[in-house]
Order: sequence, then C-alpha cells, then structure tokens
Amino acid sequence: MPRFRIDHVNHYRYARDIGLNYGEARLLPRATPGQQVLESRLELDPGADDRRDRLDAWGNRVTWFTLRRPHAGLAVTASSLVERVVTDPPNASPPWEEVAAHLARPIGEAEEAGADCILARECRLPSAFVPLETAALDYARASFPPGRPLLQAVADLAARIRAEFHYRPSATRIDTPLAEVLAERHGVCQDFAHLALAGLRGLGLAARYVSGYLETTPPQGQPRLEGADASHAWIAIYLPHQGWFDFDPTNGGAAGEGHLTLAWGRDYGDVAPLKGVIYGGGGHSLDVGVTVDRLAEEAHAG
Amino acid sequence: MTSTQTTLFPDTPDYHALADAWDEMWDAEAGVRPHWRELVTGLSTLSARDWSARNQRIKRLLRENGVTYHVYDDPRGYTRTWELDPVPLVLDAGEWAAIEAGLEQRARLLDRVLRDLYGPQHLLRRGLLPPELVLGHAGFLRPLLGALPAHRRRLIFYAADLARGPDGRLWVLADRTQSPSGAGYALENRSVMARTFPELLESNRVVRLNAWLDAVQASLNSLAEAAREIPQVVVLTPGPANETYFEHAYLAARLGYSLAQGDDLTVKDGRVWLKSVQGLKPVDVILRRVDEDWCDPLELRADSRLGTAGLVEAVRRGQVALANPLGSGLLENPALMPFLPALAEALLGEDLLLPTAATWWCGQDKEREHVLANLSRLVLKPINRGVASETVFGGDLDRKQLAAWKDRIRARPHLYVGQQPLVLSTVPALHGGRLTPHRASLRTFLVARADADGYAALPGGLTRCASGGKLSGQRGALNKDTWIAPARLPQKGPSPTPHRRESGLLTSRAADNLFWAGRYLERAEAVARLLRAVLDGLWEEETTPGLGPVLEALMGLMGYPPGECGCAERPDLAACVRELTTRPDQPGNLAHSVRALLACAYGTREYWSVAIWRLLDRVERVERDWGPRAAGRSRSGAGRERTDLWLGRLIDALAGLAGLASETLSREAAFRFFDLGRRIERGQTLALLLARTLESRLAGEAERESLSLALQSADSLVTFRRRYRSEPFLAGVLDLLLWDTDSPRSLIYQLRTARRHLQELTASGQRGRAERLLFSAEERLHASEAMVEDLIVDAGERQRLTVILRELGDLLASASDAVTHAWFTHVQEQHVLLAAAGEG
Repeated sequence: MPRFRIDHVNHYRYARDIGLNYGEARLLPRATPGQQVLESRLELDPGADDRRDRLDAWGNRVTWFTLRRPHAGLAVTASSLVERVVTDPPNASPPWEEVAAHLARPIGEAEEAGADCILARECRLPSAFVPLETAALDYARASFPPGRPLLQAVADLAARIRAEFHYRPSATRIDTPLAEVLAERHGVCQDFAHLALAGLRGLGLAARYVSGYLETTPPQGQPRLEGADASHAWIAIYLPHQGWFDFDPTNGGAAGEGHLTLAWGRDYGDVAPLKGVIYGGGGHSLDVGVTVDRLAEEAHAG
Repeated sequence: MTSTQTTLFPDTPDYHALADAWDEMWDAEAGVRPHWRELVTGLSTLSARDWSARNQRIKRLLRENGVTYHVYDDPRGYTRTWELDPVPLVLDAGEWAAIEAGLEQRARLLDRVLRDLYGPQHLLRRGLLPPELVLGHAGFLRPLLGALPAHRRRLIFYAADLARGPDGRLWVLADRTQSPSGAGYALENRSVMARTFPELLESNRVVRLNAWLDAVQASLNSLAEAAREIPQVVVLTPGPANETYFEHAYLAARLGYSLAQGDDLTVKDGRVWLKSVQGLKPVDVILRRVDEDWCDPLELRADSRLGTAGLVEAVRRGQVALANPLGSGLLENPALMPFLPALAEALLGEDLLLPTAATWWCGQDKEREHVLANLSRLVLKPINRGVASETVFGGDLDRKQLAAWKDRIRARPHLYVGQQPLVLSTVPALHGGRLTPHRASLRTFLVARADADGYAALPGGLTRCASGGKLSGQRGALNKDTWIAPARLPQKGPSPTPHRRESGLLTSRAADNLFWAGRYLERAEAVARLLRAVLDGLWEEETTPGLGPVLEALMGLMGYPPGECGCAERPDLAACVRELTTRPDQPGNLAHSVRALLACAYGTREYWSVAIWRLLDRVERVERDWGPRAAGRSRSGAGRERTDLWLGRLIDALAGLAGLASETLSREAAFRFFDLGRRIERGQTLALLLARTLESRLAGEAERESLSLALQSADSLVTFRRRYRSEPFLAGVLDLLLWDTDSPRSLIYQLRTARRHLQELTASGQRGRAERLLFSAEERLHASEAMVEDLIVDAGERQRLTVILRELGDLLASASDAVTHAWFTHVQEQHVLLAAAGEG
C-alpha cells in the first residue's frame, strides 16, 4: 500500500506589519475509506496566540487560529504522511435515472437516514460556486443517455471535460463564473470540478467537491498529471448504499492512488485551504509550495 | 357593497366598516364590540379641537424623543419620524390569554426544532422535515453546526406576525426569529400614548408593559456562562445608518447595556471583549441586532464590515451567548409552517394551538403542483429573506409574468412556498382627518423566561396598518399601540427600580463621538457668534474699523488661509453668508459643524436624555430651515435681519444644548469626554481670537471696537462691563479672557477644566500625555500673566504674548491628538484573505 509524504507551505508577506490576524486552515487530511492518515502536523510561523482544531460540518479537519502580535509575514506549513488503500470502483452501477429517482424520494419515517444520505441530499442542491446553470446541465447531458450506468456516465463526463477544455493556470480566478468557463473552454481544476458538479446536480444526482493533492512525480512509466504542483480539486459522486466515488475531470477519469484527499464539501467555498481576516496592513502576497512524494516501498515494508 | 357605520365622536364623519373583512371595533349586528366600548366612549367625549391637540402632541413627542425609522434610500438621511395613529388596537384580555398560550407554545416548538437541526438532526433523519427544506435555506449556518448545546434553550427572542381573517380567527402569518425588531417601538408607542391619553389607559384598565423589559433583562443575564455578579451584556448594532437604530439605542439605554458595533468588539483568547475607554472588558452576552450572516467575516459572509472576526469561534467555545443565537434565522423559513402541526405532535406531544396561514412548499411534488395550478390566487414567497426576494401576489401578475414565475418555481422548487392570502381584518385609523378602516397586522414579542421553561409575551405588540388592500413591508404603514384590556388584577405602578445600570461601559467609539460632539458644538457656537459680530460690522454703511481681527479669526476657524477670505470685498454679502453657512461638505462651514454635531449625537443617542434630544431636534430644525431661506435671491434671503435672527436662534439652541448636556449627560465618563471636547475647542478658539487681536496692532477707536467684538464673540461683553465699568481696553480684556480663573469663558478655565477631566478619566493616577500637554500649557499661560501686571501692554509684550498664544493653540491641538490616541477606537482596515485553493 503506497504511502505519501505531503508538504504544503503557504507563505504570506504583508506590505505593512499586521497586528491582528484571524485564520482558518483546512490543511490536515481527513481519513477516508481509501486513505489512512499516519501523521499530520500544521505549523504557524510566527506561532499563534490562540489556536484550536476541530471538525467542521462535513467532518473535515479545521484549524482556527489568531495572531495578535505585529508580524510582517506568516508561514502556514502542513506536513502529513498518508497511506492509500485503493479499491477499484465497481464495474456495474445502476442506471443514472434510477439513482436520481432514489435521491428524490422523501425520507420515510420507518428507515432512519444515515449521515451519508443527508449529505447526499445536500449535495444535490445548488450552492454558491455551483449555481443552477442550464449550459452546464446541457453540457453534461451528452454523457447521460437514458439507461446508462451512473459511474460509466460520470467517467464519460470527466473524460469529455478533459478532452474539450484547456487546462490553463491563472486563466481564471476563484470567482470566475461557470458560464465563462463554459464559453472560453478553459480553466483550472476547481473550475472543472464545479462544472461537473453543476451538470450532475442539474440531473438530480448527488455530487460533492473534494480538495486534495496529486502525487508530484508519478512512478516511472506513468504520465505526470496536471495540477501536481499545487493543491488539487476533483469531485465524488454518490451511489446509494455504496458510498462516494471520486472522479477527476481535470485528468479525465477516476481518481487514482495518487489522489490524496484533504477535505470535502458542496464546493470550493466549504473547503478553502486557508481563509483569513487581517486588520491593518495593505497589500499582501502569497507563495504556495506543494510537494507530494511517494515513499519507497521498502521504507515501510513489514 | 353594504356598509355599516357608527359615530365615534361627534365632530368626525362616520366610520364605514368594510363588508369583506372583520372589523376589530365594529360588529355589523351588535355595533361596537364590547371590549372597545370603554375606549369609544372615552374618545367620544373629546372635542374636535381636543382631538387635534392630542394628535399633535403624539407627533411632537415622537419627534422630540427622536423616534425614527431610517429608510436606506431616504435623501433626508437619518431621521424619518415614526408615525403613530392615536387610536389603539384593543384586544380582549380573555382572547389574549389564548393567543399568548399559542405563541408561547410556538416559541417552545421552534426552539426544539432549532436545537435539533443544529444538533442531532433527528427531524431530517426520521423524515419529519425534508432535508432540502433545511439544507437549502440560506439561514442554515454550517459553521454553527454542533455549536448549540442541545440541552439548553436557545431561542431567546421570538416574534410572530398575526392577522385576523374574515371569520374572526387569528392566524400566524410569519415567524420572526433571526433578530426580531419592533419591541422597542411598541414600548415607545405605549409611553407616548400614556402621556397623551393617560385617562383612557386608566379607564380601560390596559395591561401594562413595564414588566416585560425586566423579563428581557433577567433572561439575558441568565445566559452568561461565566459566574459573574453582573454579566456584561452589549447590544450589537450595525450602526446609525441602520433602519432600526433608534430601537438599538433605546434598548441599550433602557436596559443599561453598552451599544456596540462589530469593530467595538474583538475576540481574544477565544472570548469576546469590548473596547472601552477603560480598556478591554469581557463580554458575556450579546443582544444581537446585526443580521446573523454579517457577524463574522472569517466564518460567515467574508464581505461583511459589520461583524467581529472570531465571533463564531467564541460561540463554539461557549464563551459568549448571543440572543438570538447565530443560526436562528433558519426558523423564519415559511416552508416550515405546514410541518409545524406534525412537529408539535412529535416533539411536544401537543396539538398546535395557533393556526398558520395555509402554506405549500414547492419542494414537495403534490404541493408544487397545487401552487403551479393556483398561482394566480396565491401569495408566492421565497423561503430566503433578502432584497431580491420580495413576496409576489399571484393576482397581480399577468399571463406572461405568471408563466415566468412558474418556470422559476420549476427550476428551483425548494426555494418557494405558495400561501393562501388572508383578507386582513380592519381597524379604525385616522386618515385625512377621518377615521377609516385600515388593514392591520400585529407583531407580538416573546422572550425566554430566565427562571422557567416558558416564554413571556409582551402584553400587546406593534400593530401596523395601511389604508390600501395589502400591507407590504414597512413603507407607508401606520403604527398603533396595542391594548390588552381589561387587566384582571390591580396593577402595580411603574417598576420602581430604574432599568439603567450605571456600570454600563463607555465604548471607545462612544467616547470618540461624545468628544467630537463637544468639539463641534463649541465650534458651531463660536462660528455663529463670530459671524454675528462680523456681520453686524459689515452691514453698516461704513465698515467698522476694528473688524479685522474678528474677521480673520472667523476665517481661520472656517478653514480659510489668512488673508484669503475675500468676503469683505464681495459686493453681495448675502451670497457670502450663504457660502459660509450652507456648505455641509466643507469642514469649518457652519452647516458642517452643526451636522457633524448631530451625527455624533445620533451615534451616541443612548447617552442623551429626552430633554437633550428635544434640543438636538431644535438645533436640527433651525439648521435645516436655513438652507432654503439662505438660498433665496431676494433681499429677504440671507438679508441682515433674517440672518441675525437665525444666528440668534441657532446660538440659543446650541447654548441651551451645552447647558443641559452638562447637567444631564447620563454617565460620568460620557460627560467628561463631551466636556473635554468643548474645553479644548473653546481654548483653541480663544487663543486664535486673541492672537489675531494682538497682532492687529490697532489703536484708539479701532482697537476699542475690535476688543468689543472679541468680547462679544466670547460671550463676555456683559461680564467685562460689569467688572470694569468702562469701554474695553486691552489689558482688561486679556485679564478676563486669559487669566480669570472664575470666568467659564477664560482660557485658563478651559485648560484647568480639561485637565481635571483627564485626571478623573485616568484611573491609575498616572499622568497621560494629554494631561502633561495641558499642564505645560497652563504653566505657560500663568507665566505670561506677569507681562501685563501693570495693565499696560507694550509692543514687545504684545509680540511675546502672540507667540505664546500660538503655542497654546498648538499644545491644545496636540492634547486633542493625544486623547484620540489614548482612548478612542483605532479601527483598522479589515482585509479578507482567501488563499487561491485548487490551482491544480
């Protein structure tokens, strides 16, 4: 089972000294059925005056912190060691309409719905970054002919986005609307994730946004994937009673063992790796560095 | 349409009740309803003149008490006076008891729903509430999930809008839980009515309201987590620009709490602190009047400038309690309404007592089809509140609009409900001198009891009515007091313990505003006095020779560089006056100073007594009336007599305000900051005026004239004459205006008084920078006294004294800066950082 070392550095530099700084980081990976977190650590430099870790509404790990002494910069560094347990998605899945119909049924009084079921209901609704967008729905429909098994259809949608959109860093910003991404046919991972989510939710399916990382240098013989030098984003689709299955529209297929999960939510807004409010100062700059290394098998064999 | 009628009192035309609605007062068969008879009888005894006088009294009391409701796009700015109809809505005490029980039950039910949805969510898991109804509502604040302890009551304030249908039944139209407003207005309505119709309240045995604020205070105190003898409670307001700011200030003043804006608070060590002039003070409870999603730019709306970063975390840590709590807006979702009967059954094991307007949530198939099929006969409401989400009346829509709305519903059905419109009952209200039926609704207010499980209802509420068919929003609506009568038990008099607590902390922002209120008040008065003195001289055929120094001092105060006023050369003196008095955008201009004074006062209104507010209202009216008159082109515009009269009125109003403020500013520290501002400003003005006088090197008649004007503008001419019984002479004038420790107009008096305030404000006994500056100014002024001991001032001494006066002016300016630095809010610019996430 492959293990990965993740180092993620965020370095803010402020135009003037900041006396008061409040922040929230979602930089510590969560455990998932396919991922065990062996070590994880978040460091602040300078250190925080107050800091607390908790889980958010979706079970993601959040660090809340404040700095109350003057500082000219802030480095937020997350280091983690995770182990991936990759299971292939099932070959067969029910037709997508059946899943959509199942998700639209009222929750009966007899069966007590689980947390996943409630989350799935939430992930069918439009959200701030994934508004109801007819163009996105129309785009997705081509992958969803009647009766097509759900996972096959989602894989096809991911492949089409990969083939028909240009991956172009800094062509878009966080708030670039989906309509523009669709019109220009370019963007970055979060745009493609939002696009896929808008289409899937428009069809009545439940899909969530996943933030995480990609292995920087893949094993020999495998292609280097787009988005490997930064944090990455993809989606997961819900299959009732079976759970969530990850697909990466940026790279056109199911997420593989090099996809390491940080957090999930309805869209980017729920899982932004770093948010902050500072008082004073003026401009600021941010440098981000991400390294994801696969540890040699022998290093942890036995 | 058949109409029925009654004569309410002899001199007014008949009242015609409408046929399609229930009338609160008039029963078509039995005439005046029994619980209205006492009131109707009482009103019938009023003559037309009496009636008009009482109505005028209501208007005057509301204006003088500063009861305002701010409309955001109102070009008039801060003040729009609340309109109160003289006829109350009377509800029978027996009926009210049933309503109260129903409201109380509804509050308990909504509290249980709130606790569940932010906790275990059994309601969603068991299918009692569709998840989309909750998860798709903007009021579901995810950062608060799990933050409300499920074992404690969380819904503290609850308000419900009620209305009566044609069959006489009362229905709940809407639940208000986010940050219900209106209770303060309801209380103020009653206090105005009690002063206008005391005999009617007595004879009707109207249930009193005063116990309710005690319940609010007890409830808020009980929320404090920390064991503190007197918990620190603050009222969190978006500030003076908010539409219901009057109410925020009113509640703060009545309850003895500090009024705070988001940046008056800071989160440190996981708890909330108030930035007060005594340093950071821990806050236990927040009466929240900022909409919930604006309360924390870190975890809620990032674009908010009204919140406090870290507030959500302080809530999660249980270090502060908010009333209402963050997240309670979820309960305002009208889609909840059809589910309430089943929820009452499941959560309370009770039948829901109050009927709710029939409501269909479009997130359900059958209900959606019903709404789509009947849209033209329904009211369509979005489940989320907001500017872009107005209520739509299906009957108002044409075919094309209906189709467009249907498409919108089909696209996002879970965001809409259809509601059966209710033909609201009517109540008599004064309209154009006649009583006519107005459609009415009643907002009722409840607060969680501190010592028991239930809720205490305000016995009455805020009745709003309009003469049109619909009651839409706040605009154009008339307000009414609501009488529950007759009271069963003999009532106690007004509660003997005053609500005000003297320990309420003075926020740095309030101190800043009070300080500047003092400075602007003094500046406005000084400019008005100087202007009057100058104009007196200028309007004469031949310009008075001694005018120069006063004119220069005036221009200096008004921000013109020396020698650049050009006013005396202007052929049109009226235009010149207009220029100096009507430009609120120019610092130093009289209009600017007066308006800045009013803005500072408005921003600290919880500190001002009703009497002071009356004077502020007068100042405002005097200032406001002037603009259009001064602009008149004719001689009657800013002509001599009119200008003089106006300046006199303004000076009187300002002087009255200054005098009364000194006597009645409610808290000691508040008065000190206010008076400190006045003393520093007056000191600066005096130093400037006397320096200009000394510089002018006038002699003989011109000198006497200039000294007389200086005395006049320092309001000391009478004192001088009484003391010296002579024409003004330089040494005497200097003695009186500089060194006379007994004259409240002298410079030494300003310095000493200001320094004494600073001494009292500095708790530790340490001498702050401002105090040191004032001390050295005082010493320097003393030293200069020796120069004119023999009452002869030669040229060299004049020169030295001029330099000293300039230095004193500078020292005062530095002292003002030092005060600002030491005490007032240093609100720093807030930036929100969002790291670019998935660049990949």
